[in-house]
Amino acid sequence: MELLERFALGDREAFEAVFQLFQGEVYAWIVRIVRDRAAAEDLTVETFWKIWRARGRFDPAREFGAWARRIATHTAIDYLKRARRETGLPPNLPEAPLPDPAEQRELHDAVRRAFRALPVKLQAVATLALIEQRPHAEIAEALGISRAAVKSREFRAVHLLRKKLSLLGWSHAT
Amino acid sequence: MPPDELLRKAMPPVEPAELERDLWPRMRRRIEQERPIRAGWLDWAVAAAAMAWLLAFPQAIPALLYHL
Repeated sequence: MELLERFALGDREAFEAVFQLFQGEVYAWIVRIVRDRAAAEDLTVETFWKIWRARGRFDPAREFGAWARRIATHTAIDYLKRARRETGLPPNLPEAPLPDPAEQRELHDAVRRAFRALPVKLQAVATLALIEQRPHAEIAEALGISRAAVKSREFRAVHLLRKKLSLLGWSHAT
Repeated sequence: MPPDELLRKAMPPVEPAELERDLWPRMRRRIEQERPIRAGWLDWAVAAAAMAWLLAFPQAIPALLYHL
């Protein structure tokens, strides 16, 4: 019997093998969305816990990676929503690596503030499409929405970002 | 500068996102923690006695619910 079939039937050894095969991929996907390595480790375990509990619903004929990425995306979005409720900010957004002149640093701060203020679903699409530059088809599959919906969210994210930057007094920057 | 380009400058892509440790030990602990609780024979005996008592004295159920 194939590995994924055994996993779907609840075989713990098969699950461990699947976990070993896909943990790196799931972690890399989550870290792109939440941009926090420690949180991404916790969320990878959380994602596989959901995968284990949902094993009965998995069709072994389907691609496991895509299914796992979809569960991981929703887990990461839920985490961002929780983080926003608890602290008002998403955690550990990395700063630009090079030292900036003062004005540029201020501008980058304003961009990060504007980004944090985006609705979480738009933020996730903006992170994957604009920052990580992942293909629309991959994002659509991970979110369980159409490519048109991804493009629409991307457009709304850019529009809101421009609007928020303008409110912060940086209209000339965009 | 377009906002998407500005965004990439302010928040560069996360690279590389290699996993630094094997997460299976944490996963295994999580599975083991969430195993269903197994009831011992004493638990079953108490549950059976409670059920028998309720069947013998059904008029006591409203009073019991009132005090819960």
